[in-house]
This record gives sequence, structure tokens and C-alpha cells, in this order.
Amino acid sequence: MAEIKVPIGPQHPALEEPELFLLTVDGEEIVDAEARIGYNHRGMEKSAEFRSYMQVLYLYERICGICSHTHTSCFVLATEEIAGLEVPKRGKAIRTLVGELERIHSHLLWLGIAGHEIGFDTLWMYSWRDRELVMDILEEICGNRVNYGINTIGGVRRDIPVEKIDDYLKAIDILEERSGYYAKVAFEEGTLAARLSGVHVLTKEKAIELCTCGPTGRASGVATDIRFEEPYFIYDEIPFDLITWESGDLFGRVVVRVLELIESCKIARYVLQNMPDGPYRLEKVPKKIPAGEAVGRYEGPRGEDIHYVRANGTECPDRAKVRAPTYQNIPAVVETLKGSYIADAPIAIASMDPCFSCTDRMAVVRDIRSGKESRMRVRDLSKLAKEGK
Amino acid sequence: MSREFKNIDAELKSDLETQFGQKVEVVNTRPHRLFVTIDRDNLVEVIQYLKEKHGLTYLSTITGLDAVEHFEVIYHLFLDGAQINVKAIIPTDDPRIASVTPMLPIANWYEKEVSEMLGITIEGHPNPEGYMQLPEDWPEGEYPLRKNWPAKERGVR
Repeated sequence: MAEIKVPIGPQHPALEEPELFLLTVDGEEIVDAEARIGYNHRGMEKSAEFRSYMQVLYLYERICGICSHTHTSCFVLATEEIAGLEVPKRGKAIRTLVGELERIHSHLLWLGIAGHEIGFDTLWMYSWRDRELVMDILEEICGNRVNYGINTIGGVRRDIPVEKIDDYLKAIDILEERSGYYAKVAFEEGTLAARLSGVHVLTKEKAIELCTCGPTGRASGVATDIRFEEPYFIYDEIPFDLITWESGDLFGRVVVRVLELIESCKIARYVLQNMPDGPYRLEKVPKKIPAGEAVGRYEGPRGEDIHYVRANGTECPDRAKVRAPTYQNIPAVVETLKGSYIADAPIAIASMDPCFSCTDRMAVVRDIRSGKESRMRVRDLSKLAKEGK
Repeated sequence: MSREFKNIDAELKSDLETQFGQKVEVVNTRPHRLFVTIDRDNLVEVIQYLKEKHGLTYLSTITGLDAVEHFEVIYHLFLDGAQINVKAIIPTDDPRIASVTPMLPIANWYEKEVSEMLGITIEGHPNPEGYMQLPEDWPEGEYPLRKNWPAKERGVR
């Protein structure tokens, strides 16, 4: 039988965001796979050159609706390093807390999508119901369910409501119990293991060769986690475990994320119980950042986020480079699609928890229909924001 | 899991300076951060050395930037204990640099991004044709991350 090329994307019912995976199939087996990214570019790195650091912070909050705290944290880490600002400890603790709550919501979201992709819709409904608990906390702390806007240069924008800490702790207890339940489901519910074990295996060697990061790498036995490698905020004093799994298959990626949910609950509880006193932000932060350069690294829910900031002594950054974890993980996932079955492609692609908005943050212009240049205007962005993209 | 954070900054700095002498300028901006400035002709040699001597496997990303008097391409690398940024300086009138994809396959897309955003030719890139990030019908000779690219006229705001 002749080989057939099957495009999944850029627009495709199985994808939530536009990206192209071009699969060459021989019968049901995928013999070749390639990816084309760039369908979701918004010109952010260029726009950042014309914005003040504070405006860039707001812009980068909108790189992604799921891991917005990841990007702003990464950006402030780099910017504060250049400016030589030492954030008060309470500010760092609140950043850590929001980061872990974000990880919990993101992993629960992913668990639901993974369940949905393999026809286990009960898991989807359950995990998304539980996710509302953490979304409520995020909304109370930050004022928003998404695009938290908690980070600012020199600390956080709001203090955490002290009188609510007990309520949050109770919600964290429930979340931890539910996470334990999902771990039980993963290990004891036979259909899940039967569907996912041995499927789309990314070997440890391949994962290292292709620089896989985050849970995708950890599920292949690569012990990579910025919270351990290079602790930022207050991670150096929090006791928690680095979760890895050796199988490298889809099942491993479920196990790693479910066990990480439990760890994140522990971290969130530790931070809430040991919230340092004092100010949560610096009173004075310079508008002009002295010339210099720095790299911010942050462990997002999907893996290593890295920002490079070059300052030139003005109010605007000279360059503010962003690289989101999905960008780093697509090559490994595409590589391992080869040899898989086409029926496994949706869950295989979903297994890296792809976020294409993060991956594509750059280009500017295009209108396919008219062939004219068109631009994303602020009102279009706000429209998209309202639609929750 | 042990929580010891190795610090190999000083060791690495002196090793690179011994090995490459005048060819490298190593700055240790803070713990776990090294900036290594090199001429673009020495790129392959330095990456190869880090790979063979120090077991480098991890490339985070590649930043390309226009510093007006020259271009810079920065390779963000990670070794256990140190994050290294190898900064290659490229003259603006001869924008080309060797590909590191043969040594670090993950570089493939990052190099392509640098190439199309800044118009820097990546010599020996396995897949130089076409755009990866930019639209297929992007006009030739327009490099959006160059400082002299007429951003405002093109609608960037």
C-alpha cells in the first residue's frame, strides 16, 4: 500500500490550538512525522522592544492562558537579577504559592484532556471538577482565574488574604486526597494501564539526546527540574520530592503528573503554613533598568521555561527572548510518533501537554484569504482574551 | 533525592580559560551563570569541547539579537551545576555562523528561528529551505528582529 500523508492541523478538530503535525502513514503505522509551528504568532518579542519593563510583564502574562505565572516569573527573575533587586521573602513565598497552584490547575487540566483523548471521560469530568477548587483559590488570591497578574517587578501586586489561609488549607487537603485518588486510579484501574502502557515510548537516551524537559522528560527517567537544579524563590527550603518514572511511555507521563500533583499540594501547604512576615514587594523599583543581561529559568507545569533579557539602561528591554517548554518538547514527541499507530497520535501529542500559544509568540502579519498584510490589533487581542484563548 | 546544588562555576571558568586562552572571555555573573563570549569562528570548537570534556547534552534555546554594531547568537546550555551562555559575535556585514545541529539536534528549530528573524545564514543546517516560524509568504529580505526593520511601518505596536 502506498504511503499517505495525513495532516493533523493547523486547524483540526483534535487540536485545541493551531499547529501542524504532518504524519506519513503506511496503513495504520506512522512511518514519518514532522511538525510545523508558527500558526499562533503574535509578535511579542518584537513588541517587547517598544514597551517598558512593566508593560512587557503584562504582555508576557498573555503569552499563555494556562501558565501565565510561569512566563512572568521567568521574566521578573531575569529583570530583577539585572537590576540587582532583592525581593522580600513574603513576595517570594506568594510567587511560589501561585506557581504551585498553577501547576496543580495545569496538571488537573491535562489529566482531564488525557482522559478525554483515550475515551475516559469520567476522569475528565472528575479532574476538571476538582480543578475548580484550585481555580477558586487562584481567583481569590490574584483576582483572576487566568492571567493572574500577581507578579510585579520587585515582588507581588497583592498580599494574600490572611484570614482565608485556613480555607485554602482545607481545599489543599481535598485536592491532595483527590490527587491520591487519581494515583490509585492510575495504578489500579486496569484499562488505563492497558491503553497507555508501552505506547509512544520515549527512551531515556532519546529524551536526553533531544533535551526533553519537564514531566515529559521525567517520565522517561530524566531527573530534570529547575526547582532542584537551580532553586529560585523559596524552593531551597521546601521539602519535596522529584518525581521520575522509568517507563517513558504514555502511562509514565500520567503517573509523573499525578504524583507531582501530590507534591505540589505539599509545597502549597508548606508555603501557606510557613508564610513569612514582612512586606510583599519593594517600595521603590527603578523604571530604568541598568545595562546588563540575565537568564531566568523557571520550572513551569510543562517544563523548563527560559527567558533571556538584555537591558540597555533605558525603560525598555533591548531584547526579551522567550522559550516555552513545549517548544523544547515537540521534537522528541514528533520523533517518537514514528513507529506509533495513527490512532495513538492524538493522545501522544497531548501527552507532552502542548501549549502552542507559548511556543509561538513571535510573528506579526498575514491574511491568507486576501493575501494582504493584516495585524493583530489590541481589540482583536482583547476579543481573543474574552474568548478565553 | 539529594538537594545539593553543585557549584562548578570557578572550575569551569578556569578550565575554559586554560583551554581556549584569548579566544574566550568568561564572565561569572552570579552563581550557576556563566557568559562565554567567543568569535563565531570558534563556536563549533567550544561546543565540541564542552560536549566531550564536560558531557554537555542540554541546549535550552538559542537567542539571536541585533546589537547594532554586530549580531549576537547566544547558546543557552546547561551542565549539571552551571548554566552556560555561549555568546558568538557575528559581524553585521557577513552574517553567517556554523550550525551546531550535528552536535545538538535540538538546535535545528532554534537555528532556523535565528536565521529567519535576523537573516543570519546557518552554515551546514540540515533543513535551510522555507520558513518555520514566519508565514510561507513572508517577503524575502525582511528580518523582523533586526533593529533597522521598520517595525512601526509594518504594524508592530
